[in-house]
Amino acid sequence: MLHAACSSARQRSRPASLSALAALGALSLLVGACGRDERGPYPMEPGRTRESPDREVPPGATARDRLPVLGLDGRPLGSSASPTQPPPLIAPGRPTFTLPPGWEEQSAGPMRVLSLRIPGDAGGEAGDLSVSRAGGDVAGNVNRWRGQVGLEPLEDEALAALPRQDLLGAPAVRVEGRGPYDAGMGGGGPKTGYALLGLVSTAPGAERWFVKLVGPEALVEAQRAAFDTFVASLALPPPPSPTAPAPAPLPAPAPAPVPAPAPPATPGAEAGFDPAKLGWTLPSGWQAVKPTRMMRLSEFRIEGASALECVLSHLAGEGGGLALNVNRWRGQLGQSPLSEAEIAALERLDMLGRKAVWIEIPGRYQGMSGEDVPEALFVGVVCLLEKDALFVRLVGPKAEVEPQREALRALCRSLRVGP
Amino acid sequence: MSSLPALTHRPAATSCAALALAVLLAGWSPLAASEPADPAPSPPSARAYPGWSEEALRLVEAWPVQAGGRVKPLLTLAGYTLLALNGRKSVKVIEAGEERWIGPTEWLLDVLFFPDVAAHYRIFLVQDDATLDAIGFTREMRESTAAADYAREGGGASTRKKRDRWSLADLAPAFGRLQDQASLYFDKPAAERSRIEAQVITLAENVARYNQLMSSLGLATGRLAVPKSAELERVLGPVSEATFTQVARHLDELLRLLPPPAPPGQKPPALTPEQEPVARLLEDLVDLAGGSGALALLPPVEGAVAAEPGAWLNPNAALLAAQHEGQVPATTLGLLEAFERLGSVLDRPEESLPALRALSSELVRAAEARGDYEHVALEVTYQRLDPVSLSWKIYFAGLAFALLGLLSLRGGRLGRSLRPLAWSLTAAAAGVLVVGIVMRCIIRERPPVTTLYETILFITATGTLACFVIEALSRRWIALPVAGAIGTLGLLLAQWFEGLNKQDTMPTLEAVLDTNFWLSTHVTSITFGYSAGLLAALVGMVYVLGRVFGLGKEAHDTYAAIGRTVYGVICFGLLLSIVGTILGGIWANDSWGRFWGWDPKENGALMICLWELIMLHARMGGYVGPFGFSMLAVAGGAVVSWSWWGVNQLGVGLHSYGFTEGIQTMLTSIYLTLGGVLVLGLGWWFLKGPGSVRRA
Amino acid sequence: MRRALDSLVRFLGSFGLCTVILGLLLLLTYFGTLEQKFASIYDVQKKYFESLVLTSVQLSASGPIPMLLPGGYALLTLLAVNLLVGGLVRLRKSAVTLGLGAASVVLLCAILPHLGPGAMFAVCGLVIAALLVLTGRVWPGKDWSRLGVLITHGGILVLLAAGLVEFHFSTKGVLALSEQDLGAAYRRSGDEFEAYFEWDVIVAEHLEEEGGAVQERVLPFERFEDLGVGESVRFEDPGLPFDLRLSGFQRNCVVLEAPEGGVDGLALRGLPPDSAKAEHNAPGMLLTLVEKKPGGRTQRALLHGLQSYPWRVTLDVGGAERVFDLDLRRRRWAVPFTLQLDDFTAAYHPGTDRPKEYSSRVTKLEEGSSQPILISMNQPLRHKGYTFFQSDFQKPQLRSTADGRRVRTPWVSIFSVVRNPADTWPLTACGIIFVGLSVLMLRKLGGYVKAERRRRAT
Repeated sequence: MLHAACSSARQRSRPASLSALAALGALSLLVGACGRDERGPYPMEPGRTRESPDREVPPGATARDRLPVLGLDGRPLGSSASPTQPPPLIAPGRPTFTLPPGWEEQSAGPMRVLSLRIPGDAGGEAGDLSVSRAGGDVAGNVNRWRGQVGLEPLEDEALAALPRQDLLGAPAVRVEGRGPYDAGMGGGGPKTGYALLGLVSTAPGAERWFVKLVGPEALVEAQRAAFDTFVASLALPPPPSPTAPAPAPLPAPAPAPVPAPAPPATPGAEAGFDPAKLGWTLPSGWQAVKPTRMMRLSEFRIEGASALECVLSHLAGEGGGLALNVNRWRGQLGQSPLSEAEIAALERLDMLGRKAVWIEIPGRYQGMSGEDVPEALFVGVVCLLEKDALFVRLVGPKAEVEPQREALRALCRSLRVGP
Repeated sequence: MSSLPALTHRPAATSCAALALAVLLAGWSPLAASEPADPAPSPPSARAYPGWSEEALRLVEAWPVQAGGRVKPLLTLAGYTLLALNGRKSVKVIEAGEERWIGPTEWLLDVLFFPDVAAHYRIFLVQDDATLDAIGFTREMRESTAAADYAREGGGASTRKKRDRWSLADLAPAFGRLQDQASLYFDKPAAERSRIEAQVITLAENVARYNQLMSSLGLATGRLAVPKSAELERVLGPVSEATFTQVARHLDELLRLLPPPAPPGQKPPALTPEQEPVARLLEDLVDLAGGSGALALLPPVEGAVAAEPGAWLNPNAALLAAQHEGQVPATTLGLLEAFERLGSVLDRPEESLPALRALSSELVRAAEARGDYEHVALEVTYQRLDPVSLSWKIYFAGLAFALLGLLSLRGGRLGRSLRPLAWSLTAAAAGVLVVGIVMRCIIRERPPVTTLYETILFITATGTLACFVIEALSRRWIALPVAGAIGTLGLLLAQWFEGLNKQDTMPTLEAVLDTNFWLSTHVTSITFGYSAGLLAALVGMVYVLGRVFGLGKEAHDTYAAIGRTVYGVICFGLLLSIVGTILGGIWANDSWGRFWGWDPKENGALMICLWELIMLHARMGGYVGPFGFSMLAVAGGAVVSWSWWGVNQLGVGLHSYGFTEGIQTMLTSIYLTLGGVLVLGLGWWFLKGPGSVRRA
Repeated sequence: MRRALDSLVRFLGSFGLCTVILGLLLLLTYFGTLEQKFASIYDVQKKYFESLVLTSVQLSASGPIPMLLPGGYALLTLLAVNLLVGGLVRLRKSAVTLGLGAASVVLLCAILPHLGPGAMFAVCGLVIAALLVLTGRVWPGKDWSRLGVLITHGGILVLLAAGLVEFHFSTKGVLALSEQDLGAAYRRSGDEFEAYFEWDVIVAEHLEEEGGAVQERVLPFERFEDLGVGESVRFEDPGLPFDLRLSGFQRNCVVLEAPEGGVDGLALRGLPPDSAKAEHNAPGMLLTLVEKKPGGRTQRALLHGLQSYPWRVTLDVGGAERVFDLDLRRRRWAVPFTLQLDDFTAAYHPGTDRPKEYSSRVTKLEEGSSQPILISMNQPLRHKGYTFFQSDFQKPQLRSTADGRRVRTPWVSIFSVVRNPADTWPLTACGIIFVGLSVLMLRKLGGYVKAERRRRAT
């Protein structure tokens, strides 16, 4: 604990660039804190402002989509696998099976995929069943097994004559033999009275499956049926999702402006306001261009005033209300917030049958896109509808904004729902 | 090694050539599925074996070949291949009862042009015949094989030992099983393989390597049977058999006779009876081209769409490249024809020698044109001179005389007359070694030390040179024997390590090492530091053992001088170690972004510095006298050996060179030796009583 | 009292103490090297070399052995003290030596940083020669061996200082640039680099009428990295309509199905920290969001280091909807300029898969000005206190997108980025130590040669 505490204390001091002394101070604090189960509250540290979210969130995403969920077999579920795959809890590619009565699973060595133990009755010698995967040709492996129980290798035609059986969805050669069993290396001498029951899948490809049961002859005979049911029960889990290795999440196409939920039909001009239906008449020299960001209905370009930025945006709901938006704008121009009274006193103008608020903010404008206009004028219009809010803003060098003031007024007045 | 290469001789079954076939025949041929491999190498038509003249060997050993990313003489490649298979760079051949040793070049020539002869050379070293049991090459089979060999060779040993050498023909019956077992063990993590299992894999790889090598110039002697077909007759003329180049020259025409390749996954179009023979001929062509691992003897043609810039080709790769070119480039065809010409006259020495001369000059010219031949000739000289093994013998002689001289320290005439001899011998040995190191620098265009192997050479050289300086200053006849000892031991170590590593000792370098500035400053000074530390340990040993066994009791000032020597060597060692270590940090800071990362190798260097600092401060603080200091120096030898070899055995970190148990045993013996000396010293110290030791 | 102080000073400056400290350092280094077989270098470093004390060492797979050792941080501090005190105690008497030594150290500190390594050795050589001449010819006869000692120890001090500064004031991370922009994961240009080991929780608020723009707030790693079982930590911010509670922090974990209980039917399962590379650890935690407004809801979600996008929360604040993205991601440090990858090349030794060299052509974008630069192995870019190293690369590969399309990823060039005020100090220290030791050794060698000559004369 002490060690952990002091190292972490120093960790804390590290970015804060304190000396070792301060680290010791922090240490004592921490030791004090360790007892309590809730620390803080701590303030959050200010981060940077980004042009666009660091990582896009696809619409309708659930926690399962977001998190790299592992199935019990240690392989990722769903599409979103993790950039670096965490260690699987169980080795993948391991077939599932139903354990015949009396059989016991034991830890599979490096060479085996599955290893089962079949206890002999009355404490006799146990049988050993292994499922493994390896290369090599069928004949070589069949004859190796036959060799282990002292049978001579088979010629090709004899091989072809061996009985077949289904193993993990592929035909497999069945090898049977009895005699003194010698596992070869590390076998510890031949064991007499043994029997071997094995399958070698003949599926083409570099790797083939092996199932091999070795044990005292009596035991193997007794377990013959169980062996077949076991083999039949073997099944491979579904192959890993195509996204391994590690798909880097790529952004979904930027969603279109969210239309407001259609409200119940109520009488009134802008009942069921649909931003898509919003129309306007352009002042001369103005030109509507496709919006570059979500939530914007349109942007306007103005001849001979390239430095100007004019945006018409829409929000479902009040969009934070009048005061919040007005004051956020003022903040951008380095102006102090206005009181409710001051806001109430702001100039009004008719827009969509409502009294929209017209505000002009002079000052130094520093936009999100890094543009910096020292002598700027910001003209903003906030129009609160029943369940929606419209914002129009025109910002740029004071000299260029001034002449467009009236055009902007005209544009706002011209706004209408429908053609 | 990413995957276990197939053992089979037929290149069609080896990955790249199989690919070539697939590309060539666009996967429609029913024959494309790799067929069961024929176990034994298919010998070309048996020809009389004329042997090779000295000139022929001189010409061939200088052939440029690209391997391991650089162009080297065939001699180098043959030597290290043989070392890997056979455990030594020469082969013992028994003919009609008499033994004959042949060198790497001659062996390789036989493998290339007389595979059926070479197949009986016993060059597969099997450390433990349990390996052969494991692949079903049973004792009985072994005995009968040995007997058969004995009968055929008319001499040699009639039986084989547990550790012995076997020929390709001997092992042929066990191939199928060898492949099976090897691929089975290959799935195991290397750490979990038993000794035998590892040896089975090694044997399998060696056989595969041999087969690849053997397939390199099959086209020189092999012929293609041309099936009867109107198309083929129109393209190739009315011939029943053709050489590789005769067919390859018309590759594009022949390909055009075949249906367009089927897109992958779709069923290949059936062949018309007219197309069948063309397909068969092309398949044989790919087979004759040899394996993907065959010798890269063909310089790439400028402007050709080669698979990889600067990569030399073997016939197989040339055929692949021909896919993009439409046909094999003329210059490549020219070289291949030269090989065929040689192949056609091999059994007639009077004709083969001119053909060989012509071929060699063409190969050399092609390499020179690319600027790839610059240092090949020099490297041939280096390999033939073999400075390391030459030098250690001279060192040893020097050591012997120096010791004789030492025996008569108190002025025997014999002793004094021996000294000049000892001096000149040791100096000569050092000279040879230095020349060797310089040659390596020129060949590689690198500073002296870039690999573990080269640290050994460098440490030996600098160690002995330092001894010369000390001897020149002190004239006490202590440093010269030490020099002889260092030289002998160091170079024996170098040779032993080369045998253990079985790889070209002039490899190409990793990206991070590609900076001659740091290699020459950091690596060099660190290595100097090692050398000083080890030298101090040796001299310290002389001091301690001398005191313990009471040699030259009355020669107190001699001991004082030895003590001063140890001190001086440690001081310089510290200077070089510290500077070298910090420089290493700065290098790391420039390439990895951190000055110090507590990486094992870095820690090793740091430990040397720390140890030598401890020694100096203990001495200054008066905690140790000359005797204690020498003891510390001896212990320092262990620290140096650990950071020189030990840390590499941890198998972790950025500098890890992989584990070799041979090295572990060597380290242990070093530790034991040093430990023994320390124990002796301590025991003596306690018996004598510290005070008296200090006074002495 | 005074005598006590004297003896304390003498102890602090004694050779004995020095020897013991060095011995302990040696031991520490040895153990710290062996343990790297069982723990990642990052953990070993924290445990051995950045600690004040350590209580166990692991030398074999059989597990750690309890052992009380002073940590590297403590030892190095002590060494610095011993070095200073010892130097003063022993050099009080010969003021000239002290002056000369100090002067040369200061001189070298002033000159060397401005030289390339090559020129540096030249300067050091000159200084050595000068000192030897001075002490040999100008003021002969004095005991000048101390001069070398003094200079050397000055150098060691600089080295220790460099270590201290790097340890406390440096940041290390990685910046991966790809040849083409491809979604969030593959960016062609970047002006911030990512930590290896520190993970922050990020609260990103969508500034709505600004479209995509987001304002981020940071919950720093140091506040929760050492949370124990059952411990939690609370964060609040006046500008936010909610508080956050972090609990159940796991340094390395995976997300599993939780048949009963769990959050969204999921739960975190802790794994032992990665023994090879601590960078591979993937942390996770439970995040609880409590709305401030009376009767506000409480929402919970798991965050995991490998999640493919943040947890999005949409809150109704006074009728307005405010959107927040809560993410757990590696800490990022902003760089005062932008790097843009133009072209990456990896060359291999022909016919092998051993990289010969790899390098990146990048453009440095900085208030309007742009400058092409080549970064390659052993050729970092140093600018404004930041250093960019070519450390790794990623070959193109097929990957499938969120909407199931298969795309070919671009070449990615990976730079490790370091900001270290003491970046070049070790080079200086190296020069100083080189000078000091050389002076010392050459003096001693001279003495040795003289002695031998005298001996042979008689």
